[in-house]
Amino acid sequence: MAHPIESTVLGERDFSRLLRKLEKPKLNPLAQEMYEKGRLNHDRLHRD
Amino acid sequence: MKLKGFYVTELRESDDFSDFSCGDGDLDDFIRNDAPRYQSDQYAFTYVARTYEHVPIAFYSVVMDGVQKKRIPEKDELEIPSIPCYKIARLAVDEDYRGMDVGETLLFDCIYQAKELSKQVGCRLVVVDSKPESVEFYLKYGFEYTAKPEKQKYPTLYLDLLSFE
Repeated sequence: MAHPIESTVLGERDFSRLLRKLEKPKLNPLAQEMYEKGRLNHDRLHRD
Repeated sequence: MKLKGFYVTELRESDDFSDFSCGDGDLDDFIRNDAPRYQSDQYAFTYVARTYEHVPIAFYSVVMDGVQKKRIPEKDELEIPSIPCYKIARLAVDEDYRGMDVGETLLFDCIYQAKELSKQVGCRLVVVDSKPESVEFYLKYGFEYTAKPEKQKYPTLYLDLLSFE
């Protein structure tokens, strides 16, 4: 059997560091571009 | 192998992955033996990419998850117990269809779906527990480490859904 899907658990320091980064989200033009491409492709790509 | 195009549907009971090979035995085993049960039990949702001749060439499995802090009861003063996220639990492309932007297209689809979901339910990150050999793929698309990579056998990488509109 393949390894199960696991939850992500971080140590206190890593979790706190991540939360601090998320307090001030930085704009990510690359992510914006990926989202737009995903949006444009979504209906064409998916079939029932 | 030439690919004119592909489409995506959810995993079907009739799907046959006996000829599918992504080069990772765990992932091949997952799509053949575990994904159907995860689907029917609603523990993970799997989408399958197929050629126009209906041959399965890739898949991805997604779950709702949370990036949690390791519990230290006497120090649990944090208000946020976990960060809700959309997890790409599995993403695999058949070896014969590598280098054709299949993985990239499916990743962008995940990002789109996660963003749309975040407009209706608390969801802040897209996360993936990456195989070491796939880390470069996700870093290339702007994912970041949640922790120092040497701490995790399968580094968890994330993309902040508030970093774009």
